[in-house]
Amino acid sequence: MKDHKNRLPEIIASAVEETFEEMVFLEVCQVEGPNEPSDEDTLLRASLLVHDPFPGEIYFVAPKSLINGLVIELFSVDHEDIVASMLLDLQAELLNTIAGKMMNQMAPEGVTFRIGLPETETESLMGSDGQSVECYFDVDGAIFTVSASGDALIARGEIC
Amino acid sequence: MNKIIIVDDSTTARMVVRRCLEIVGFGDATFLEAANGKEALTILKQESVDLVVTDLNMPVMDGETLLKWVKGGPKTHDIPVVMISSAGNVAKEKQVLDMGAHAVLGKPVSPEILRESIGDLMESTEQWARVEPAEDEKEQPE
Repeated sequence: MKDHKNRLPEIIASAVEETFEEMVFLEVCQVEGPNEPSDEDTLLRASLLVHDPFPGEIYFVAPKSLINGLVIELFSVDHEDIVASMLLDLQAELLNTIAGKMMNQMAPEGVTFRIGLPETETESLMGSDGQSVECYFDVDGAIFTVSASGDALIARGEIC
Repeated sequence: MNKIIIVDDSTTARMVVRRCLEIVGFGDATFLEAANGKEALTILKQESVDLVVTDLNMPVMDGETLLKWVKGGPKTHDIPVVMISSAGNVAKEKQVLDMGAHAVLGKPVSPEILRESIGDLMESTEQWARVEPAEDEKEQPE
């Protein structure tokens, strides 16, 4: 298999770091290796379609405890006042911003790009077919994943 | 009192925009919220609003359609509309600016960016009351 230099992990990392710093004022650190969540930790999943000009999908998978903590900080609410919609909304908004920042780096100057609305899921989002680029991040000890799939989107990472 | 309507399908995004507006100096404003353009239009029919801050990408009715309605309405066409987009798309930005948007901002919004984009409105529009900077925005004595 050819080893292409793909800038997509670098682009994902920069978009994630900027988004967390600007939206929730947290420093994020990219880490190696697969995400092994603890058994009791439920994962929250969100996805967003990239329609044009490089069709693909971007995913954000994070422990519920992480998103829970972010909601408490951001909305200044107590743990018992948190409802599921707040978690999903914050996760979706983070993904929306991450995707926008990624596309800003990837789309050629002057080219219109179009992304879909984020969707949140409880089941695994990633299909077993096709290639994907996965990046792992640590924020205050919690590990989360941002990944991208879609041949056109990944191929763009090799040339931009 | 100034009335500002924040339009976004995300409660998180609406809260972030509201906090930024408060930091910039609109702590005394009345904030109205809508989850999409359609809800915003319903509110705009009932309320006199001084500023619309809206997301571009929303379900039901997007920000571009809302802008078209606001700028086409005899009672609303003078209301400044600030668009917020997660997609920093030059062609789309030009399009909405040509349609009458006051400014297009990228997500996430920050107080600095908001101040730059609506500072001129605060200075030039008579309908805005003079507002004092928020406490944490005032210069600290050395």
